[in-house]
Amino acid sequence: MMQTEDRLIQVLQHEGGAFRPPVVSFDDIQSRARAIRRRRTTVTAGLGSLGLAVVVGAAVTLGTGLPGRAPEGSPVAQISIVPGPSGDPTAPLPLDRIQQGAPPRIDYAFASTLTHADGTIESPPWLGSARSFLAYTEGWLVLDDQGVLTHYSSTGAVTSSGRSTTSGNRAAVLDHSEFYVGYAHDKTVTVGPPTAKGELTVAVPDMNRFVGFLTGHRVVYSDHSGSAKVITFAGKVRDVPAPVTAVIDASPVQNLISAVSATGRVIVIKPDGTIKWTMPLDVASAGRFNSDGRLLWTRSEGANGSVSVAIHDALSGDRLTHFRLTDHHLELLGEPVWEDSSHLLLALREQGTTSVALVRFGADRSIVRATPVDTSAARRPFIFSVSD
Amino acid sequence: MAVSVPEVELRVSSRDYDADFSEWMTARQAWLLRTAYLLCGDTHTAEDIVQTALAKIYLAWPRIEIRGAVDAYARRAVVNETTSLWRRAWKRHETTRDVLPEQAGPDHRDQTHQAAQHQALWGLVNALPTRQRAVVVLRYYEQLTEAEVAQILGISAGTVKSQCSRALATLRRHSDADPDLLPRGES
Repeated sequence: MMQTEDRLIQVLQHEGGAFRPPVVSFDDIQSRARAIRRRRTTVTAGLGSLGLAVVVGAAVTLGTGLPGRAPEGSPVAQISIVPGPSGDPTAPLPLDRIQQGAPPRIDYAFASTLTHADGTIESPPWLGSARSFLAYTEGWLVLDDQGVLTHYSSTGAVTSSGRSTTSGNRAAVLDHSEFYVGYAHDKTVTVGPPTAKGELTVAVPDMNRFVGFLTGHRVVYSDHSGSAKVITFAGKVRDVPAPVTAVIDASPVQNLISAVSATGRVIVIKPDGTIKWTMPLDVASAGRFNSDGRLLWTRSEGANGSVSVAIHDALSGDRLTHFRLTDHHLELLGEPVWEDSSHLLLALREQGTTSVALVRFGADRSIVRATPVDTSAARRPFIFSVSD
Repeated sequence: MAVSVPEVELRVSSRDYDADFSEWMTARQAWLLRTAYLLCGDTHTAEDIVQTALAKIYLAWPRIEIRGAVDAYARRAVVNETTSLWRRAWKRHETTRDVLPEQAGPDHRDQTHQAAQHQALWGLVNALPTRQRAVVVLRYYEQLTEAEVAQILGISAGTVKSQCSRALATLRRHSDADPDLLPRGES
């Protein structure tokens, strides 16, 4: 028989999902707020007439739920509003009206051209079929459309090749320190420094998807049931005891894992399975942690189909800023990628056009274009070096 | 010709509070309404609860410095409003339901049994005491930790644990007594 808790979760999830929330208008809220304010004023005046030194007001209502200052080490968070050129926060924002800033600081590919962070351009033969790629000092790890992961040397020669056992777009990940991981062979993880020397192959049972690194030479992966598991480089496997159906990313600096819970919520958990925080319901998918693990991007979908990209404080869950793309008639192509510790690169297209560009979106609430606007028909979306 | 926009961002100033709040409210109202509905079991009451909670947040909006904390505060406001509403005596005697019980049909016996199980359990959740129900919704729907639930309800983590335990015991007890709550073949 199913556990009571499981059935309870199912029932609550079903009832919550079946509930069709009515639309509450801002006018209704303003009207009710006026009524509350009048009532408070009356109560305050009444108490004052009784000579009671009691303060009744919004400050009491506010309570301690909203701290007056940011937690130590946490940036002050304010909701970002990104207006169009007219100042209207829901006006179309043509890409060529966004201020041109510095070029991308990571390698990226568009159509048949690979542009390096230093500005040099090349067209390697593998680019036409690449789904993702990772650059390192001795060459490239390239995942192609067929799911084959190929190791190219800096001269272009194939060093090794094999079918990736990972699902998704990432077959290789840098951990920002000394290791990378590849999936060149079934049920193994190849771990090594960013040169091809000193690689270590770890057999991973029932691996479905590589996720990322944790501290202590540990790798997070998901098995075929979607459960999160951790394996050490010595091959010791341990479950992450959390009810998750998909594991998205791991932060090797903060030791956090982003995942989708059994009830469909995006959550951030610790390796021991403790839920650190849960995303609001409209968060459709979690993105990835930045290089220091303190930020996490997410993608949200509103009931009306609006799409937003948000940047969260990964430790507290606070949403630091967000960019409502559909309000500005913009579409997101592929996944955003961290350019540095606080800026995302978004591949955007104006709705109904072939105009595309990379736009830099920062935790500092800035929106700056990182490339010229390309108005030719995009045969392939942008892909980025897997350096996030 | 491309026109440069000096800075495509807006620092929130006092005159932007309405737009700022409205944007937040639009993004969060569906979530708050769902939580309120699970806490009270009635659409209209949920709407009433959320409107009051949102109005109070709107009044406090200019003084809120950490906008990322608003969601947690809103959740707490909704729970408090629900508790407050429930304390009014007339509300204790009446529970309205939005969904009629499903009628049995000869071709849908399994589905009907499953739906009956579901409705029976949801009925039990509706009958839980207010605080136990709040604990259950926050723990099993919102998936908050015991410490987070304790903070929202203003009680200790130990009380959260005991309330949760009592609620589950009630549900289990009725599951044992009511064959409709058991999967087919296990009664």
